Amino acid sequence: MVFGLEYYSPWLVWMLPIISSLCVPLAAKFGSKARDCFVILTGIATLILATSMISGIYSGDLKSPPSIRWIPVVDIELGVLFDPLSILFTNLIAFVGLVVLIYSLSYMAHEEGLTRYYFFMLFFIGSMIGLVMADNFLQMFIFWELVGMCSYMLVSFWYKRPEAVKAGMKVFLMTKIGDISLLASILVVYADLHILSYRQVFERSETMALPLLTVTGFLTLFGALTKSAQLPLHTWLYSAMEAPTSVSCLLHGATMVKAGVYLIARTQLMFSGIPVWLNSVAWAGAITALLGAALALHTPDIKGVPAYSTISQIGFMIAALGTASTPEALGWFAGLFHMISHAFFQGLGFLAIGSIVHQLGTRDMRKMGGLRNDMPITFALCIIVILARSGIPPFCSFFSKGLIASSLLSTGNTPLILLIYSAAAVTFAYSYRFLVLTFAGEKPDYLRNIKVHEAPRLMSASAGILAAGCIILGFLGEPLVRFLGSSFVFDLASFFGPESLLFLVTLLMGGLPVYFVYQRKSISPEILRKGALSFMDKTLENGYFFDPVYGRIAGRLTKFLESLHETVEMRVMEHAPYLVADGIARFTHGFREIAEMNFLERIPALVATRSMQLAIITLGYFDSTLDKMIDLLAQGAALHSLKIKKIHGGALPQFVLAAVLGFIFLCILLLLTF
Amino acid sequence: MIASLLLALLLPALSAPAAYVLGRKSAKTAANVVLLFSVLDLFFLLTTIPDVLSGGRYTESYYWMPMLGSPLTLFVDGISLSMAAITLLLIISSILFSVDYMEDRKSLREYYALMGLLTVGLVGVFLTSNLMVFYFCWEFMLIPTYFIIGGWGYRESYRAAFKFFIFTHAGAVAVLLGIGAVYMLTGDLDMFQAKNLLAAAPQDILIWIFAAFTLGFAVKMAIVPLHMWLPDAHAEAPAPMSALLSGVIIEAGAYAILRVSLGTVFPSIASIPVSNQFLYALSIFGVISAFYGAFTALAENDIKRIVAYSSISHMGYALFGLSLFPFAEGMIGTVLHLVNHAASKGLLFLNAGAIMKQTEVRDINQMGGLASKMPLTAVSTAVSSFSVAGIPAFACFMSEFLIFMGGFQAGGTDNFYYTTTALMIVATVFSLAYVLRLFWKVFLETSKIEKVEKVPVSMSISMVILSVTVIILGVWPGPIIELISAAVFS
Repeated sequence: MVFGLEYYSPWLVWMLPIISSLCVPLAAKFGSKARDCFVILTGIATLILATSMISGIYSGDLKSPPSIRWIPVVDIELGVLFDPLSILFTNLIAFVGLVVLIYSLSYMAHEEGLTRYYFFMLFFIGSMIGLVMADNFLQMFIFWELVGMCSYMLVSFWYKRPEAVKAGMKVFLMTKIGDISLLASILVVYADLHILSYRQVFERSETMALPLLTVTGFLTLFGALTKSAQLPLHTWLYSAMEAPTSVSCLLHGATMVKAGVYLIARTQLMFSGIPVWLNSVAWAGAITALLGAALALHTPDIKGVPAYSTISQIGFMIAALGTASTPEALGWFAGLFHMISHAFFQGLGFLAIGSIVHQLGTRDMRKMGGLRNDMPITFALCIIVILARSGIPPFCSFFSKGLIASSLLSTGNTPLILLIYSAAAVTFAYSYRFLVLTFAGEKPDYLRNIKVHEAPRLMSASAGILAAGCIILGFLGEPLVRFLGSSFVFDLASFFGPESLLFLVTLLMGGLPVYFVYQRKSISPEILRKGALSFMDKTLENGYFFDPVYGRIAGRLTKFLESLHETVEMRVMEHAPYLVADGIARFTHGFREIAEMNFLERIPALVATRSMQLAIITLGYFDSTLDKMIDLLAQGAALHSLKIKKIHGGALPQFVLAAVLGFIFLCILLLLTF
Repeated sequence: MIASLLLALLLPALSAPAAYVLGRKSAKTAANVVLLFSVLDLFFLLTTIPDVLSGGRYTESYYWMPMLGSPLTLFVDGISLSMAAITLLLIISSILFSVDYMEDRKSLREYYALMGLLTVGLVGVFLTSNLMVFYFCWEFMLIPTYFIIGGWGYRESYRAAFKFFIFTHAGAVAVLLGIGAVYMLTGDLDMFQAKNLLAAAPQDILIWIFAAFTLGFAVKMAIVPLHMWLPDAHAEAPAPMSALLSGVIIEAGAYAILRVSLGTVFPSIASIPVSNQFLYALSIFGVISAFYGAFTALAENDIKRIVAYSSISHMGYALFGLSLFPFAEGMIGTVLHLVNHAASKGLLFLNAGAIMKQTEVRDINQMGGLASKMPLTAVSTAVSSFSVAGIPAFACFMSEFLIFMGGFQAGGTDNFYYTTTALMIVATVFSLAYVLRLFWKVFLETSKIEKVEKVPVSMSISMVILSVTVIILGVWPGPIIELISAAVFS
């Protein structure tokens, strides 16, 4: 191994766009030209880094660079995984990313807030590559959430439009529901195995108890299905169409919605031993494929067609993955092959209609028509889109859908096969309908006053790159099989057998009604909305009632929260302390009233008067006693003095002595009484 | 460095009179003085890092109150160091933010002096292992807070301040009872000594001590249904004080539960079955708080009250994390969550303050379209609110992830925790919902407010400091996890 570019590429390929995105505001300081150049150069550099890793896979130098210590206690390391699956996705993301960046130069040229736009586009490309390059579940989950955040920011790019803002919130919240399911599955794995690195988890997953493994598998699956806009939480993808078309192309057509496909493909090794899980994957994919296609056939919205088409086509991929019991099986390869071809034709589908949406100011196809003369190049590109999407040879999806069909046929599960074949038929039907409604026929009144011109050259050129990809990709199957290390032989000749004939006949059956209804106009579409079919029309109109039900749940919840806030928080909780405080205040007040005013206040006075009275009574008692004693004394003294008078006849010294003795006696008496 | 912890405790005490005296001429000087002291304080605190990393704990002991046989012990380990450091960082940012935020207010030197005093209590709580000193700092937080909320707050600020004071003081009474009981049983006021000595104490008394401590701390943590003081206090306080209230003061409650209730008392009662019920109760009240806070935040229209309810929700996460005792992932996650939440919620409150100051509106329905007028605030609000919502690469994600990890580990031994952890994970969806609603109503769609001036420099700087902190904590949490885990495992 040479310590050259390819040694550092696995790290740089995702760090470069992220670091560059942080520099976009800096570059914008030097003018918008400098910023645009910087962004495109980053895109090119990322693509170079991505392609530099391809040879490493072919030469078999499958060696992941060393990891970095990241979260010590739980032993999670920051690492990159150098394996065919991640390199495949990395190249795809870098390639479509660059194409869309070039397209944006022209498409977004006159918008405000482009620094923000390019910041999030580069950040998204970096995070998305980080998601597929991560070598453990936690790192993958971090990028998984970051691409969700970019999606929110980019869907709400025109943040002054209420619809865009609300759509952004819906997208973020609905995908978050899937994200917590994925988070829970990661935590279950960690709690049981104490590791999160893919390699170690896959090695040891067999030691997990089967019920636990099954629960983990379904939690992961739900997360993946939600991110990839599969039933039952698929409705966010249509709302995401509020984003600029370039964003819809990159995030909601070519790359971000494939994160779920990546996750299922990645964890196939871990869960494919559980038949229930594998079956559920196949069924979820097949049902979504048909239901999504039917919605695309019904929608009047020009961006709705590629949006529902994406839902449906991802269903094809997931159905194919569900037939693969190992990552070498045909179904696994078929799913991923279709993933690539879908990135090209759906990316092209978005880029081609970008200028139509831009110029017409409406997304309603019923107001369109006859654009083929004004926009010949766009018309040509759209023809490629419908051929490639439906699977007409020699376009890419003919091969990928052929493989999906044969992988399903090999399981012999008739209902699944029927679902997928009818979905393929409807695919052709809605693509055809889109083409007729937009380009064929006469111009309606709405378009008379609008001057429509061809898309700018830069936009057509970048769309052209994807168109070229749609044509040649089918023939690149053989190197791709070697790249992914699948175990079967990719033989072009095998595609031209009875199976393909069956497939093409199916497409024709889908196309015929559209031909009669929309092109020949021999059957009015109104007939299809009447009678027994009106129920179906209503169902499709409401998107199988998923959104109305979710809306009602959200409404109920909002009402509940409002009443909770109103009654519990603002009435009870807010007032409870004051009630208690009031109670205390009333008690103290009452206490003061009763005790203080009536009782305590009077006590001193009462005590004073009572003690005064007591004192007076006591004093009076003493007084009278004293008086009596003094009287007695005086009488005694008088009697005595008479006796003495009789005896002495008035000798002074005896009188004085008697007086002094009497005084002293009195004093003693007085002292004794106090 | 010698006596660096004592310096860290006393420097802010000096900063208060210094700011008061030097700030006579201009309030800016007072702010600079407190700022300088806080930065120095942080520096002294960080000088203990080598000791903590090598020895796990760094202790200083001073002669104090010989009658009670208790020296003044100051210590730091990984947990208290990271808590104290984020506290000081938040104080520095708040003071910096105040310079422009408070410029048109009166008697600012008193304000800055009170901020200095507040720092003593806030930092002291994390730095001491002596229960008496701890209680002193615990109560000492209240007084400056009361005056700052009352004196410089909004609307009926003294009413809110009074509510705050009474509630937390009532909680502190329970704490004091607990401390008294611990002293009577052990004759020692040091947490670590007491932990060993309590093992011999009668368990039926210890249960009551545990309950008293936890209840007292839970009031400060504003756990539903003891949260009634929080929305008022947070909403009416001036923005820097709200940031500190939410970033430090309520988190001190969580820290105290970890250090005192669970760290000191719980090991002695862990062997009896009823202790499990206590942990269940923590877990259940954690879930209730997380949901209740998120639900009310979703229905509220007052910008600061939304952020306040979000704090209640996040304290639910912290309490849930504490209930995972003694699972290491849960404990590390909880402490990390306190650190992360301090930075994120502090930032979010500063943002809310900036918005309120520039628009002079506090009802989010009257705002809208501010993204083009206050781009920096929009970015830093996005950073802080995504962190609050637990979006990865922003701080709170990693700590929530660790808490959930601990929850599932605990679920392996006790199925009860599978249920509560699953509920906590569901609560993150509602976190995202209220955050998106806040961002939408304030920053997106068309503008309803005509004239909005640019955010002044000092406010911008402090917002940038905290935004960068939030991102660094989210992207590279390794070092701080290492710091915390050293303490948890010892």
